[in-house]
Amino acid sequence: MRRVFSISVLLMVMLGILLCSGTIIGKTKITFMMWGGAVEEKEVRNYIAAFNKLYPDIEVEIIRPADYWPKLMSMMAAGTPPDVFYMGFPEFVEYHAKGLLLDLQPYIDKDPTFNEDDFFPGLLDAFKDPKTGHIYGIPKDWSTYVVYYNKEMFEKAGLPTPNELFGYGKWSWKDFLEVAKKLTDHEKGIYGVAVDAGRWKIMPPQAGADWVQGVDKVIVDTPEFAEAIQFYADLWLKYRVAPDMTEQAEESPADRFAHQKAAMYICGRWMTMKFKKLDFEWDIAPLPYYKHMYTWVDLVAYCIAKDSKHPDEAWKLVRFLTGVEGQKLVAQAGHAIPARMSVAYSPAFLNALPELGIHNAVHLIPYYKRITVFKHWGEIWTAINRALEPVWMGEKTAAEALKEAQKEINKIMMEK
Amino acid sequence: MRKLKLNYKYQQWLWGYIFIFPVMFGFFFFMIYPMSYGIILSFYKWSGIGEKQWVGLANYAKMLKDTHFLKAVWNTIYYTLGILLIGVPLALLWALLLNQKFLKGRVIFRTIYYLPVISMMAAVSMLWKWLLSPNHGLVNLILGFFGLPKVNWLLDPRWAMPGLILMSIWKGTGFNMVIFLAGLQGIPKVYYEAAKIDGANRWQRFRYITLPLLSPTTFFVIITTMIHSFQIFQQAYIVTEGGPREATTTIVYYIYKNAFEWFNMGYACAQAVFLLVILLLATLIQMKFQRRWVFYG
Repeated sequence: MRRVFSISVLLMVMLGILLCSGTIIGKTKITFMMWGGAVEEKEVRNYIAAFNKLYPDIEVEIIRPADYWPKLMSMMAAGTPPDVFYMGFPEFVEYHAKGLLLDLQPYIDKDPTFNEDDFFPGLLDAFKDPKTGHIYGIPKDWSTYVVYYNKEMFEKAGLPTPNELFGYGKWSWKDFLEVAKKLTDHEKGIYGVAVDAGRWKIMPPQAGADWVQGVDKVIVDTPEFAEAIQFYADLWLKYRVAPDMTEQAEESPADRFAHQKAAMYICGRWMTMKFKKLDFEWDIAPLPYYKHMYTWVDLVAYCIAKDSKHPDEAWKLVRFLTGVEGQKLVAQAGHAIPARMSVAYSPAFLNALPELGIHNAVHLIPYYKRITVFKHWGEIWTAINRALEPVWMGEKTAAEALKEAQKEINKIMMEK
Repeated sequence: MRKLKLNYKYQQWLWGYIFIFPVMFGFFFFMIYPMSYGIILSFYKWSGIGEKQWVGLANYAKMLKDTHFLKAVWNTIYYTLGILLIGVPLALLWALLLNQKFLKGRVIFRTIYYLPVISMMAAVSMLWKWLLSPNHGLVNLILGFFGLPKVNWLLDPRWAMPGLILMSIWKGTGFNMVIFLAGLQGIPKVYYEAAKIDGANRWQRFRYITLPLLSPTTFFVIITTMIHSFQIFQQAYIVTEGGPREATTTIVYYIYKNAFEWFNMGYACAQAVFLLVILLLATLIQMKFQRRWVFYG
């Protein structure tokens, strides 16, 4: 017994020494919290390696938790937040309102090379305080939704590609549907297009629905909104050119595209990573349009915690990652659009992933209106998605379901 | 003399507390303190970080009017009943089977039945997502073999919860089986021998010896399974995400959503207190009625 005891004491002492040795004298250690998969972490490690060439004295520890938001919330509540972390544009509203983020304006003002105008319009605005205009987060990268299409399937069907159709001005919903019909072959189990029901958010503004009219004004029970949702659902319910809900659950639409069982697929830039290794030729094209052209924007920024113990070092990291050099690394990685125009409109991004020969510039067509954001983000999305479930199954019309959704939205907005 | 005796007693007392201190410390700071704090928070409107606002019983009032929460309560009860009415008898059946001497390779079977218990829930969930898949899933294949129609397990609101119950039974029954096995092996053989001499048949031996003598075990299994079932979360979180149409939104899943995704920490705490009260009541009722059927030999 005594031996077991002394051995365990020894082990604990050794463990303690190991834990303490993390703070090497002369080096400052900052923590960096991210989400995403192992591939993304590998890329981040590359960025940080480049950063360490310039700043060898700053050691960056990466945290990649399984449950990002609960983890961030509990770290903040415990008073030990990560120094630098990812921040989505919708979550920014709540985190900023609680005063948890560091005001970056003083740093930006001191930095003559920062050049605010280099960022795409609207991106920085998403992370500004609405009153003072101070910036609290710097866009890390962003993404717009596009149509991925299988070049070979279009060629075989003798159809012009979506990019060509877009060029001829023939890429409306109607044209899109016609093309999808021609590419669908039920006998072979091939669909013209594959979409995720949950990504309906790309649709309403195309039909003219101005559904987010302010952070506390979300209006979904309009004929325009209903028309867009109904068209989306009818892709599989009525026209049968897309996999229905059961098929979407059985084989994800992205996989269906990858297995050449769907000629088109609608998603954001990050899918490039997954499709990079496919053994057929594919490309990207703009989304089809109806009354308007529109695409959804996803955007993530780096923020620094207000309680950070090393804000200066954290800023150096953020400044590097969002600077021209850091953004070039983002462009090369290929899974997102650089936030700086000088990089996005340079060969670094336009010719990124040259082996694929895809039209990267499609992502830069400025047809997003603004970045959609509103209060009680998670709860309201849940309410809308819940109401839309019967629509996707063909049991209710979009107009009926959206009336219910509106009631729920009003309730959530009223309560707080 | 007297003083020395007291001293001795005092020493005993002191050492006793020193020895239990590590456990009590952990119990207090990681169980009692957070639990009490949770109860206090249930009277506040709080987003999880920042300022709290006292709202009295408003969270509780909101809860009783919240149709989504009531749906979650019903779903949880449905799940628990499913597990108790199917899972527990099944565990007893397996235990009885695997307790038979004539069965060859009993140990191997016991291991096989216990394997799902020690498997990771995340892995099990992924496996069952595939097993329950409507067109390629093994469960539907077996149903088809018996001429039964295909069931759209995870997308049909009527079938999603039965699907989760099926999965949880597969995952958890092995544990109860082991408890039952231990209980069965604790029954002295002499009773069976005596009954045989008196001419009791197999059913009578089960009904009048096994069941009564196993009742403390059964009682334990029912209570722990019930508590465990009421806390179902992971299956709903990984396999169905509470859907379709909230058919698998359970109380704890709804608490999680409110607490960590919707910034309604105070409201979530009120729901957690509600869950605590329900469990307490259900356990007390069972404790009260145990005198009628639990037999401590």
